[in-house]
Formats: sequence, C-alpha cells, structure tokens
Amino acid sequence: MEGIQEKAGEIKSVRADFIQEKHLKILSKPLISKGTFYYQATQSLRWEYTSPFQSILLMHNGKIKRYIKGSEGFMQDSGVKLQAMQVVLQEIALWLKGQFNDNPNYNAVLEPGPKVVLTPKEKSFAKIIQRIELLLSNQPGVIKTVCVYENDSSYTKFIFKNVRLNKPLKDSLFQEIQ
Amino acid sequence: MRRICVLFLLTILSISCSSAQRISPVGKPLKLAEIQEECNRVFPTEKWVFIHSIEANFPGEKKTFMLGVSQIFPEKKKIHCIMMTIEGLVVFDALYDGKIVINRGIPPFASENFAKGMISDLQLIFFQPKGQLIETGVSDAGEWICRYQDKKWATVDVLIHLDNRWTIRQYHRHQLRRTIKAYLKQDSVLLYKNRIPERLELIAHGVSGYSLKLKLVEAEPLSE
Repeated sequence: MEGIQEKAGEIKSVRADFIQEKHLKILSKPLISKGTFYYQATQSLRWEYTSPFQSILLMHNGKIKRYIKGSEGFMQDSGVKLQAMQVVLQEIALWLKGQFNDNPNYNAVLEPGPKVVLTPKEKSFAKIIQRIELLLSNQPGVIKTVCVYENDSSYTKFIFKNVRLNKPLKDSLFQEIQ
Repeated sequence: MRRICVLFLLTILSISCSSAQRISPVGKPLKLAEIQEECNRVFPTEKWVFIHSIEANFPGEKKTFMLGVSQIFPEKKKIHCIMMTIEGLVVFDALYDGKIVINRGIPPFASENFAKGMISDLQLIFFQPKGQLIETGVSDAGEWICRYQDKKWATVDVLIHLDNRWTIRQYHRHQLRRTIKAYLKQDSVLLYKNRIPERLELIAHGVSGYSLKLKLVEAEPLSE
C-alpha cells in the first residue's frame, strides 16, 4: 500500500469519464448515469453528470456546491445531504493520492487485483455503507472501478475511462459551473 | 331572524372553505361512460417500475434533488419506493403492503411520518382514489371531472383537460391538501393502455407545504 501511495503522490491532476451503474434488486437492469470528473491536487474536484440529467458538484478550498439543471436552468442544491457528500468527495481526493489508510473511519486491505477493500470501523456507519471496493489500474493514480456496497443487493459501480493524468486544468473548473 | 343569520353564516363558511370545482352534469349516459373511462386511464392497471428525477422545493426557498424508484402493484395497492442521491446512495427504502415497512432510512428520511407522507403521495399519483365515484361531469372550463369520496371525508377530483393533461386534487373536509399536475408524454397514448406522464408536479398545500417536480427517466412494465 505504501508503494502505491508513493507513486500516486506524483499525480497533480486527473480528468476521466465515468459510467455510474446503480444496481437495485427491484431493477431488471442497472440505472446508468454518465459524466466526467476532474481532480487537481490537493483538494479540488469537479464531478459532472451529463446524462440522464445534468448536475455539477464542485469542491474547492474545503467548500462544496452542487448545481442541477432543473425546470429553470442550473439551480443550486441546498439539501442537507451535501454534508455527507463533502465526506465522500474528500475520500475520493485521498484515494487519488493513494492514501487509502488515511481515513481513521475505515479499515483498508490490499487484495490481489490490485484491489483495495475499505470497511467502516463503526457499526452505525456500516449500516449505511457496508464496504467500498477500489479496483486499481497498473498505472499509478488510476482507479479502474469503485464499487460502493450498501448491502449485497444494492450497490453503485463507477467505471472510469479515458483517464488523462497531469494535464493542466483551469482553476475555474472547480469554482464555476461555466 | 337569528336562525336565518346562522344559516347565512354557515352557507358563507362552507362556500369560502370549499374550493372544489363545480361540476355540471352530462345528460347522455354514453358521454358519462366516456368520461369515467378517461378518468380510469390516468391510473395504471398493470405493474410498473418508474424512475423519476425529483426536484423538491421546501419552505424558505430550500431546494434539493433526488432520484426516485417506484415499483407499483395496482391490483394489490402495493408500493415499493426507493429514494437516492444522484450519486446513487439510497437514503430511503420502504414497502407498503397494507402497512409500511421501512427497509432503510438515513436521517432526515428515516421517520415514519416521512414514510407515511411519501407512500400517501405515491398512492394519490398512481392508484385509483379510495372511496366511491360520487359525481361525473364537466367543469365550467370544459374539463371532464370524476369526483371520488371516501368514508373519512376525503374527496379526490380527477380533471381531464382538453389537451389530455390531467390534474388530481385532494381535499379533506373541503380543504385543498394536494394538487397533482400530469403532463403526458407525446407517444404514450399509442404505446400503453394507461397514460404514462413524462412530468408530474405535486403541490402539498398548507403551512409546511412543499412541492415536487418529477421527470420520468425510465418506465418499465413488470411481467410478473
């Protein structure tokens, strides 16, 4: 795990397309969402959905905002769940730096693949997320897939494609919806 | 004189509280049957799974967005409802089959009251109203209306507009509680026996009122 962290430390920026598959017992096929994400070391992230709806989540300097294209164009989300999203996004920023062990709330185990399995230490949190599995690429700093398991029949799989590393990204990408 | 005053006051009160639309009767039995058939078509008779994107507006100009999955079984009046964040985290999962069972609830979606409200709203959207059809007719604006009433004094009006949109209004003791506006998908009349609205707007009236704008993402008929 330390070796992965050392190599991932060289990552300054990431841009990748993603496919999100939501698997639920009551759905015959997963619900597919698509989008693009941008990351800039050390804590800036833009998570943008393009279909089936448009949504942009921005994290910059510890502040998080979400915009969704609704009935009156892009509107800011004022939902309470944004606090939970802040935790998730900070987690993603840690993973991209290879720092799987840095969150004291999870136990991290490296398995063949290479795959990192994170399990919540607290029972109350484990009721919300049972485990997270990260399938790593052989290329440092690149994650192939992330699976977030709520239970065995409900999970979300993120598949990352067209990954571009260390290309310059504008600061405004993380501050404005554009 | 005193008796007349009381009667007058009661009449005024009942008129001011009741905002239910006036229904003019239609003379021809064939027309009556046609209106009732159109009212029935608003409510699915088959089993379906619907996925909606939901824009929720709360008092204080608070706005939030979710995804909703509703599995409906009209014959059994059974509903399985799942709500999740756009990122896919399930925050609410409940089943109604005579009684509500909450499978999963993350605060503030964990309360029984939230579950009751959610199931009740979905029942109003998807299921034929409880109670009896007490009136059928035409409004002053030319909309077709079916009025249902149950034993608990809840009245539901189903209004079919001239352009095929429809509105559902729910009253309790003459007070308007819910308004649902449905906007039809262009090809749904040809595709399905029932009408599948592309967009739905639900307004919960009252001091702690809210509104939901639902946009259809996917609709899948269930085979079993």
